[in-house]
Amino acid sequence: MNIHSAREQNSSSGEKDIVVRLSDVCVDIPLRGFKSVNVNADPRIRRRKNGELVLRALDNISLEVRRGERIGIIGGNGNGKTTLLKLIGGMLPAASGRVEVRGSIRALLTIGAGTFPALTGRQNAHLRYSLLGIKGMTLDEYVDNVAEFAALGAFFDLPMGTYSPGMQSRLQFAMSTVEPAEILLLDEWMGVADRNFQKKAHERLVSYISKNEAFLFASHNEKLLDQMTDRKITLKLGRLVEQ
Amino acid sequence: MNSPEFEKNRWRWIERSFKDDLAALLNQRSLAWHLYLAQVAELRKNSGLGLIAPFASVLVHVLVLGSVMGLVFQEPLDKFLPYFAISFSLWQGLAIYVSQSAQANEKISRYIPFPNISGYMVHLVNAYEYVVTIIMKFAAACIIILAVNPTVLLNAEYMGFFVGIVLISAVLFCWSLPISFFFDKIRLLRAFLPQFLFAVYLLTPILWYADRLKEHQWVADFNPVFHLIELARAPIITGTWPVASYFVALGLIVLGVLLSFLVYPANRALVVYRWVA
Repeated sequence: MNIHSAREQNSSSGEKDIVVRLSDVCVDIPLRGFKSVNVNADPRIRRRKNGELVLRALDNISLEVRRGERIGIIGGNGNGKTTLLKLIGGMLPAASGRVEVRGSIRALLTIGAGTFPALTGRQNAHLRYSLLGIKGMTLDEYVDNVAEFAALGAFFDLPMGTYSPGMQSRLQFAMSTVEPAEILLLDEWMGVADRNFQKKAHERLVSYISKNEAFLFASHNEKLLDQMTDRKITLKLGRLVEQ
Repeated sequence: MNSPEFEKNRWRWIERSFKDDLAALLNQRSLAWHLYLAQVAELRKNSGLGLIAPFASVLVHVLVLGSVMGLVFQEPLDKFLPYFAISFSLWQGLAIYVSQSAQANEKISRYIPFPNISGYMVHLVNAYEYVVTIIMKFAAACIIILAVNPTVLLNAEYMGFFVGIVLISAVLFCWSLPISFFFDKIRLLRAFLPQFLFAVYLLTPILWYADRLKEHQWVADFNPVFHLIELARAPIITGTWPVASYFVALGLIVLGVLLSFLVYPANRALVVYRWVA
């Protein structure tokens, strides 16, 4: 399906179903501190009128995401998959074009963010509750859910600095996937702990996705994308090449 | 820019106005307090001292440095030590806040994955830290004053001191964003910040009385740091309300807010693109 036909189909399906709409969006990343980069080496590196070098990470992206859609984002390294998710997730501004987002977003892009090694797992869960601005459940319900899923036993009340990397992943994954949101953004499959926990995490994620209105998932793993999404888009050098 | 259906875009920090971001911060003040407590836990883990650190620091500095400098300047210690204890506490709190603000953009970028969080969050956490550590430092200063000259504490104007601390905190908070922006835009200057602060420390009447330089009173009069310190020092040491310093503080607050408003978008760009730049 090409971009135009997707637009035509979408426009006929009603405005209310759209949860994310990107209209001719460009994202430029300033390349601070670089003066002598060969601008011809990569078509995405451009020099602005003021001499500043920028990397056009996303170039004229137009995309509509409807309720219930599960979209897989394909593309090689450095082609803009994470940038697209960050743009929708409110972590990057658009240099031009229009970004419209309707509904709450849960972005599982940098799962390790917002944790403090000196705090216990329980205290980190308390903080994450506020950082995520969760309103659908009480703090106690949230913490209990995290404790149950992470299954860290007595370690839940020990400082996170004492955790093995696998235990940290368990806690971080559990904290990020308690409350569903209307739009879920996921970047790659997270390598979480042992095989048993990976299976548990996968099941939780599938259940989590089923509760979300829309899902965008960037991955190199096409098999996983086939399982978890129903539509794919491909990014190449920051451009949407197919839908 | 957005149609009414997409008004929810406002929750995104990258699309919030300066005013909306401050309003968001107001609703997140409790989270800021918890983040501050997390910071204290980290500090305790790293130094083993936690909140005792500012208390011990003032106690040691004032007793050692204050006594030595009092003898060098041939000042009576029962007068000089109370003056230095209060001055040094206030200066140290101020200098630490400025240093933290100069590095704040790095911390702010850690919260980008949580776009609902105010970009001012780190500055509010720093402000909480400033107030708590000032209380600890003031406690240490009071112990020293109690030991060398308790009448100072009996004649102190505590309400004036409280007003002074509130005003200093407000000035520091209002200037935190411009300081972050300046030291992030010209990162090279961060390396010189300790030397710059040391120069200000020497130029400001902290280690010496302002009336020692009567012929060059302008050194104090045109030094905003002197007025900031005087805001809380004068009520304790002389039991007076420093009216001129109040006006300077209010002027600094207005200027700080104005500068913050002006640099807010540019500073946000510095934070957002940090992971690449």
